Amino acid sequence: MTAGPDRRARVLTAVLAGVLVASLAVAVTIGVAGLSVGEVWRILGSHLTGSATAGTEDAIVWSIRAPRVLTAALVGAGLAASGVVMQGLTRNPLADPYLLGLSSGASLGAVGVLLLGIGSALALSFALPLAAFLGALLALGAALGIARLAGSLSPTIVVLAGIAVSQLLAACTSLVIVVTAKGDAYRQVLSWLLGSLAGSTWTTVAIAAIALALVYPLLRLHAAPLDALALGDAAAEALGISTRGIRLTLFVAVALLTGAMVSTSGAIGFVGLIIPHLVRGLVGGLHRHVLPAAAIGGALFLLWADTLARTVLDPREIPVGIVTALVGVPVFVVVLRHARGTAWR
Amino acid sequence: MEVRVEALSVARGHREVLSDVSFAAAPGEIVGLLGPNGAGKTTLLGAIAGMLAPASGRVLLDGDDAHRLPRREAARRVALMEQQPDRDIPLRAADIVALGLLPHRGRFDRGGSPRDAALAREALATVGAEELAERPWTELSGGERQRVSLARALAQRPRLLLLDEPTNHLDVRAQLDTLRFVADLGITAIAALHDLDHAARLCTRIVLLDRGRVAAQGAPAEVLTPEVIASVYGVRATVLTHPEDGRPVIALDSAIDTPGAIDTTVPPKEAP
Repeated sequence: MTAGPDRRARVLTAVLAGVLVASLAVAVTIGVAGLSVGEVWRILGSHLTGSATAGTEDAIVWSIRAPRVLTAALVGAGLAASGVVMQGLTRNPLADPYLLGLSSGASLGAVGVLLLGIGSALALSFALPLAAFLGALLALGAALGIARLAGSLSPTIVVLAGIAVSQLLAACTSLVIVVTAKGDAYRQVLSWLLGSLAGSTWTTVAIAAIALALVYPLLRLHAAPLDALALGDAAAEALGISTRGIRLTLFVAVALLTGAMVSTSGAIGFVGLIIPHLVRGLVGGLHRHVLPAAAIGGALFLLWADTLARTVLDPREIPVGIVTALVGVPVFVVVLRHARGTAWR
Repeated sequence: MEVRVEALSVARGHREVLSDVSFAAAPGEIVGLLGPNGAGKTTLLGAIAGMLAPASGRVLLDGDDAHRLPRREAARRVALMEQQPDRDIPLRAADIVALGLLPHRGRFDRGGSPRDAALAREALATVGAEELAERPWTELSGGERQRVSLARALAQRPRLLLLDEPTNHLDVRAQLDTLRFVADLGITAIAALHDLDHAARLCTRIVLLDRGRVAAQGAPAEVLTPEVIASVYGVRATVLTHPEDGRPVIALDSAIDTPGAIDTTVPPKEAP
């Protein structure tokens, strides 16, 4: 009975994973520097075998492109998984870290830490995600708190409160940057509020990878309780689930994941909103299928969105959030139209 | 399972929604909870399931205090088929039924095993809904949803089944089917019901609630009298006796046009 759909979901997820690996290999060869495919792979190979030689091409491939495609994939995976869990926890098809203000809270936290001017690069790479995590947690608490004050945790009220918090914190972030920035403040505002992967390094790869490795297994472990929450709180409680406990645990986990991702790349929208819906259409609604497929799908989506962002207006870059919105919204509209019965409505 | 509700009071906010409720259900008995909207039926079910903390009194499930049982342990004994949510769930019927296995599954069991699938199929078969397994919840009719929810509750292998208005929004045939499934299970069941005739047909005992208090309890023929119905529901009724099995059949005649009687159909409001 469940063997058929289970197998289909597993096969689809494996196919997506294969496409992701291939996409990483292809995306790293695409760029404005005009290096040949063979050249790029030779350089990557030389690093993997420890025979690398210094040079401009080597720096472009190994220090810029490789960490950038990996960061894009990891951040996409983290944001999409966060979106899945937030939608499940709130039974709200519109919940995602960006819309509910977690991302702008995380941005504000990160910008605040940058203001402190921590000199040590190592200290900064710890402080940045931590502050972003606290910012995300604060934003989430504020959104849910406002919704509760308004007397209801209904999807509509939660989204309204989240949008309000999101706008407020985004304004605060802009203000802080404009008041304090030396140099190109507007570029910085854009990259924090619309997201940019231009600052990717092996450090951002490590931050995103560690956050994902820590949080994803925890989310995956709660797949069945998340399914049960869809039945309603009373039904979930009657199935032996502490709804308060699971919400607390997973909201904090998602804030941590979102915070880490935003600290590397700013607030990138639409990944956490669109990918879960797309994926439910493919693998069904069970979280044990949706979570892995969404993580891989999110990685794919952001990887290609960023590849577009860094090449399409050569030599200029577009904030990747613009691409995710431009591509994501039409896709979303199509999905909403066709997903009757399978998607969450 | 034997259920004893002892002098139970439950408060929500500052309002006491259940006051001094006592009754018992013997193993295998089917108890009907009746009463107007707001009488406290759903609250009472929640308290029996151990999900709501009593303000005073207690609920004993085979001698164990329901509210003190760990959530998972309570879920292994008691299943609740909640009022049908008018909510879209992005799952197939079989997935929803399999959720009933959760309380029995190990913490690190990822689910989706062939054994789980077989158990879910078995539960669906019990309520005659095997053919619904692959259908998405969003495409099911009210009666089909009810059967799937009942199958989920049965997959929980409960020793006590709680049902909150199991026949709501169903057509007549589906109502009778649902009641028959419950009666045939042979496990202790407590059902909040709206329909007095259903209660008379299904239940061995009836507890009639009125504004959080027990207004009457006993066998259907003892409780469902014109006097009791008039005082609790504010409705003039004629009670007949079914020619075949002797159960009471209630014909509702008219609303009693006195303010006091009508008051009983309105849930008490919180003091401003």
